[in-house]
Amino acid sequence: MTPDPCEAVRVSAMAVADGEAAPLSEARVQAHLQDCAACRLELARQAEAVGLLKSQKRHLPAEDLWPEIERGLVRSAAGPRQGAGRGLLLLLGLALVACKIAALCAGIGFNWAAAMFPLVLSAAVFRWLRENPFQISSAPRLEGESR
Amino acid sequence: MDDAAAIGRSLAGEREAFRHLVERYESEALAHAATILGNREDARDAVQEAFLDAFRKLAQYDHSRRFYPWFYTILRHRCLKLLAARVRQLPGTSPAVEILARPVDSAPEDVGALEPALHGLASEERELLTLKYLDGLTYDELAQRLGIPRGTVMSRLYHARRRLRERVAGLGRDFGTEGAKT
Repeated sequence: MTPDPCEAVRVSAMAVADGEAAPLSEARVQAHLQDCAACRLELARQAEAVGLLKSQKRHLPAEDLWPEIERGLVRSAAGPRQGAGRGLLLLLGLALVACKIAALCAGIGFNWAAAMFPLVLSAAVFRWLRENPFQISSAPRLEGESR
Repeated sequence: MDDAAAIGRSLAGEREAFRHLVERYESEALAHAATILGNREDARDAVQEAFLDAFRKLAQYDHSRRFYPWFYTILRHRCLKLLAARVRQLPGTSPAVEILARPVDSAPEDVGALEPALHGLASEERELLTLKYLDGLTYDELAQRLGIPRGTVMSRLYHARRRLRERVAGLGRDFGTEGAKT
């Protein structure tokens, strides 16, 4: 699509005002602006709004993020171990399924200790991996409360 | 400790050296993330994750570049992922995030009109305008940071300026009637 000549002129005028190289020559921009009141009005309005913005400064929040980042770095350092743990979890899952199938097929009568064994094993593996698989926070927060 | 030394020591596995980088840039990063996300909590999450990403990717860091522009691309990626993943909160339910400081020598109504006008813009417009007119980046620097051609920077900046002008005018300030008469 061919750009609107007015828009091309306004973009060039903006670039010149920002101290940048413009796509159109300054002479061409000035020639257009002399005859185009709409462009003059739009550019003047934008210049005023931008001038207002330029007179401001960013709000720089003062927060200490290091403790949380450091915890993340410590978790990252345990990364390979977690990677190995994922394979182990897969094996554990397969073992549990095999155990259930064997129990169903052979009608083995488990006593209570045997029935608890998969649960205890799962808990031990999660503990060993130092994982929190359900991402349950032990420090509840109110909605909107900062961490 | 300067950035180069902090990066070198971080690469050697010194977490305390990386702490220098975090403490030097966290405030700026939070301000930039808050501008993109418009939400303080999300900004904090994005900055934390971005620093962790940066630590993991430090081996890929080009030492001829300054640290913060490199880090900004990581932060921006995190922010955009958050924007895409999270359902937008209803207006008024997110904690207010300030983009502009309140200087003592500025009329309160200036910031009063600008702050909501900025929040009313699309995220990428807000990011572009503030990087250009608050941080003073050149068009080439903007192109590099945002990963877009220089011509696209100019076109997007023009439309963002127009939208800002419309937003500010819609909030009770009328601009440019004097300049247009010349």
